[in-house]
Amino acid sequence: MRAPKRKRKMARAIAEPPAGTDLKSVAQQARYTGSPDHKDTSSFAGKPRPRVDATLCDPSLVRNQGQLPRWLRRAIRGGCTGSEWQGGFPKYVWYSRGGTVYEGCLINRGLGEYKGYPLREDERPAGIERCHG
Amino acid sequence: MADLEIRFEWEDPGGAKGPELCATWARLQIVAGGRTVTRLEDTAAGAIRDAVYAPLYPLAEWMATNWWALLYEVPSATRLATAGYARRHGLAAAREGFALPALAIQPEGARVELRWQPVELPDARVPFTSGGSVYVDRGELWRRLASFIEAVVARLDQQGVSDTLLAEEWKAIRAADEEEAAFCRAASQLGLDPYSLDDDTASAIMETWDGSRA
Repeated sequence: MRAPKRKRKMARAIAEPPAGTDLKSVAQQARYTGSPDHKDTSSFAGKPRPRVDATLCDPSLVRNQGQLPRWLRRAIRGGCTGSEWQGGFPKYVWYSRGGTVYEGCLINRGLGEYKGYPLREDERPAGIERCHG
Repeated sequence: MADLEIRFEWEDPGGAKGPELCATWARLQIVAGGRTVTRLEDTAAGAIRDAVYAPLYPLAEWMATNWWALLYEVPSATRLATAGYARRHGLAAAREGFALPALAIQPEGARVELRWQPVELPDARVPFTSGGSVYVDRGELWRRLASFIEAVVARLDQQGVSDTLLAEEWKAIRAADEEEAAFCRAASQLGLDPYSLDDDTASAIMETWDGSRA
């Protein structure tokens, strides 16, 4: 029996960023673009194109254009990031607000673009209670 | 033992965002023991259909990163109560904003239980209507999951999407020789991820194994 040489942490667990990472700088570069696939009203993501098999964003969040990018930046600055990083950005970030935990998912690693969605209780990453409030 | 089929056809992603998602947009149907797990009510069309339309990348990545657990981690009362177990064994963890059925893949030795139930996802308009439970042979599950992952990796390659976690993870799994696979199986049986263990835990697993063979 031999342990694998490959080492990585589970992507959906809150973890320290790679050594030397400046979270403030990463947060500034990250962009919440959302996806028109998940919108049924016009928004910053463009003309709505809701797919029937995609979850729909809460319209109250969509209307407030600045809110979601703020949450994304705050989550990254606060280190609520997963272990998997791609192109200098965390693949997953989490933000907790009003009892709901939202997961931000990197959809374009070259541009640092994210979409987000709420998680059910059993989908939340361990340690989320340390993040925000 | 029942059969498992994971059927899919690539679809035009339209204006979807994200290279991995665009490259792997598909119609997906899962059939277990002759019963359609992905049967849903399309409330917009007012019809029942047997497949979902979603990117396959998140699902394939979830399968690969939980590979050993999906094949070897048996449930226990303690484990079942943890969110970690649900994330490792429930397809829900691969949704990423899309609709997937509430299917749990739970190994019990040489056979694996596939259990699914009707579910209405919050903020989605496609409630899944099917429920059931069947047992599949672990070898059958291995082949079906491997074939699915291989197809998604090949699709990414064809579409020029490289350096993905999925490809990296799958390469490591495929490259594991019998010695390494034995370790990964043992770690998974303990409810641990073989690639994220600290050295002390890895050593303890190997010493226990050696001790049991002495």
